[in-house]
Amino acid sequence: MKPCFKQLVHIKAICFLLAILLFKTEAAVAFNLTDSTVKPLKRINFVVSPKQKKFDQAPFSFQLQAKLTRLFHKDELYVIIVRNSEAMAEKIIKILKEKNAVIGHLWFDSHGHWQRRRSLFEIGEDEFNYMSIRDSAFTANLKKLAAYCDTNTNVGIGSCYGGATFTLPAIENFPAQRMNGDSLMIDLSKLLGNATVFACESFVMTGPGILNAGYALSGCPGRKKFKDPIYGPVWEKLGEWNCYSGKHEKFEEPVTVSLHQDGSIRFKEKNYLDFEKNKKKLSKKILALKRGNYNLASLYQKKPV
Amino acid sequence: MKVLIIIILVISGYSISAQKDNSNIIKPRFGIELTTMKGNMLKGLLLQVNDTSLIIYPGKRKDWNKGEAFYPVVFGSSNVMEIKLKKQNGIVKGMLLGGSVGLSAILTTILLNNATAKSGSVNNVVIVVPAGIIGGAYMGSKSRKNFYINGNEKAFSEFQKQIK
Repeated sequence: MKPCFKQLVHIKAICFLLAILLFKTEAAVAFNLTDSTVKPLKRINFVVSPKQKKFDQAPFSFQLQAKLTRLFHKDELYVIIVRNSEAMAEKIIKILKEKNAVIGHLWFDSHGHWQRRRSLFEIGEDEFNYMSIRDSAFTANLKKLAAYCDTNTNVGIGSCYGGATFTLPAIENFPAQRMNGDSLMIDLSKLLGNATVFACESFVMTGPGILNAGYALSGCPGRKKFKDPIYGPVWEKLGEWNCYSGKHEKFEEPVTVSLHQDGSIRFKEKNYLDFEKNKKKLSKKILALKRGNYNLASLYQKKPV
Repeated sequence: MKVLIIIILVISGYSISAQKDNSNIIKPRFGIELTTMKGNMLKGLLLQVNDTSLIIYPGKRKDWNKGEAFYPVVFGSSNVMEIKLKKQNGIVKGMLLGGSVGLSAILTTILLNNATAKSGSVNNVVIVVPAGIIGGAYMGSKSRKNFYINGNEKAFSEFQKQIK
């Protein structure tokens, strides 16, 4: 018994569909095998901290807390302690390849250097500021991470005044200068696959409980040198973090950021200065600012080239 | 053996030449804390005082000894409000002075009492001498000369004379 014309059409259609399905699966398999840029869903969080030549309390405290936290979050959180950006990129990429994952959250623990009069963060010896971040040769190692970042990646600049947008007032021979933290954030986002970048206008603290989702990153430093009016713009923006969304290409509302135990960067519902006690504390500190507490020598400490 | 002698000679030659080089460098005598007319403060080492200005090394003595080559900073007398000068090794000198004062006090008491209470004098040595050293070190660290200039050229030239 021969099949009728209609049945033949049906059989042909089914065969055609099967062929397409088969081709698609083979193509997908081949694509997966040959092309490593296909991004799996697994995300890993990294905190990058500088390897110290001399003992420094701030990074030591951060590294100790991060390493302790990692004991309980081995799958999600990795602590990278390196001397430069090249070593950082190597270590991170090695882990990501091993785990077949992409970057979820990336936190750069660093000092901010007020005397350099610009927003910056350091990866060991390498300083990234609004100028050096545009140098393609200098940022080549950072750029290597772009393949593992996307618009869902969050990057935190953990240095003081890393995202500062205010203008520093003129002091002695030094003219007024803008910190340009916003430029740094935008360019870092572009460099890392249009990730969302968080950076602080003010001080970033390294007290106990940094990775406990609290307000440990915000606060008032106690050292005398900070109690000078030249730090005025910094005190006024205590606990204020700027957020640049690479996806939407715009700055979001300032927030207060916290680090969670898995190394993820999230923002708090209430800002640091929304609390009355913090406001009172800040107003006291601002009233107590006294000229002459900051040693200008650090501004002049430039070596001849 | 000959090789060893040559190596020693070469090394000693280098060290001698290095010593010669170091001898040419003048060490700054004073630490300085300068307050500008705007009220800002700069701490450093006083390198030179001219008729109308002073030159400061913007670092610590530790940086100077390490050979950190920072650009010197020049301040005109019209921009100087106040100068505080601190001599080198003030703490060590204070410690020595405090310790010797403490020791001499004990010696005088022993001499006056003609060694009647020996155990008491030993206790005194344990307490008084370290107290003298600590007190002397504190005094030495705090001892400084203040010069109030207020942008005045006359006051500045007075300061210049006192320095020399």
